[in-house]
Amino acid sequence: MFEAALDGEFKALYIEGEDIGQSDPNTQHVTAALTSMECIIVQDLFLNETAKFAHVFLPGSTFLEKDGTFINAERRCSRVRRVMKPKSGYADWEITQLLSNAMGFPMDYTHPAEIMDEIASLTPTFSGINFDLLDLLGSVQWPCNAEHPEGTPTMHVGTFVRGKGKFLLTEYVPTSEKVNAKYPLILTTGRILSQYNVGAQTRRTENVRWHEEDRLEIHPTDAEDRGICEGDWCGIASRAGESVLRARVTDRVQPGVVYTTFHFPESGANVITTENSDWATNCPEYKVTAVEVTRVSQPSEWQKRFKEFTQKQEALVKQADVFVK
Amino acid sequence: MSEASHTHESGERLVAMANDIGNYFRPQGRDEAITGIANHIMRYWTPRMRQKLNAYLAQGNGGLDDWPRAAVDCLNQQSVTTRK
Repeated sequence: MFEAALDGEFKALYIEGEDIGQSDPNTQHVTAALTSMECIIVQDLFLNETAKFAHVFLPGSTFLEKDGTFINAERRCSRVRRVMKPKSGYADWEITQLLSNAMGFPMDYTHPAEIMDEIASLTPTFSGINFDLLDLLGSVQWPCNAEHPEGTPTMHVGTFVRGKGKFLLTEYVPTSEKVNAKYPLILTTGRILSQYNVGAQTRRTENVRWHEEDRLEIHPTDAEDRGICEGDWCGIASRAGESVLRARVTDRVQPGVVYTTFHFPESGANVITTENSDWATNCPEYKVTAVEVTRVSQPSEWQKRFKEFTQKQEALVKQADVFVK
Repeated sequence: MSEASHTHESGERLVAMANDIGNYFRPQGRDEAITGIANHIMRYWTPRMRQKLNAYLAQGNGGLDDWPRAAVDCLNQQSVTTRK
């Protein structure tokens, strides 16, 4: 998608409840792609990082305002019931419907139950699931078919679809991301309990008391080799980009490995990560990026540009507020 | 980054992706591996990715391993047959 956008072949994107400007690897590549599109619509609770690149921003709903279904990894489909009407005046699906109608594709759903009915009629996996059934049973595990009208707690009993199943040899395939003299450390990124993913929802709460910034965790030996002390600013450079974080010297990480979280956009953790991905699903390789860490005295060039861009966008929002009032 | 260098890079990236798929299927032996690679590319790559890889290879760029190459040839053969 980003490649196609950069080639000028992919021109518009409607993003609901995702923040690819912060969550995806190689941030500079993502922002280049976002900048090259003609129409980006972001529908979200907050003006997140991706919203800074949007031509149109629409208000999203919180979980308390949502009405629909939720399917978890156990194949279990449950109802989600709203406790209040959306403050913005429209539910997420109603906004999508308004957009669709405005663009010439008619939609006339009057309730989320009708959308579920359509999903069930088109997607064999979800056939037989409807709001009445969910209200009656509380939740069901797909598939709901003639044999199991109330859902299927265990998918395969006795045999698999193909019979007894098939065992295959697989070999370990090492990553192509290698450490060398220029990038001798491995950066691994991860999460902390008190912040949720890109932190759009949790950074704006008192949770920052538990985690107020992303720090670079580095082993005392690696820190000493580089003259880095607790709290020092560290430049972290990879083949994709460079950012600056404060050091936390700790033996929680092994020598040769550095670690950070990606909850704060100004950290630019994903400026550093590369687009390496797994062969099957293209899931980004967030756990292995070859880097070098050095003691520095100022933010990275990317962080300076990020700060400037953010200030400009925030000023535009303020201007718009004045205009509305 | 210029437009041209970008396009070049993404051809390289597609070759790397095809080789990654090949590396996974390698233990299954030549025939099964080529079928597996071809199926994966057919199911999960956009037509645009395949076109781009073909164009990149047609420019004389190398780097694609033998079995992924055979899988790509096989897919191209199939789409020619389908069009006829």
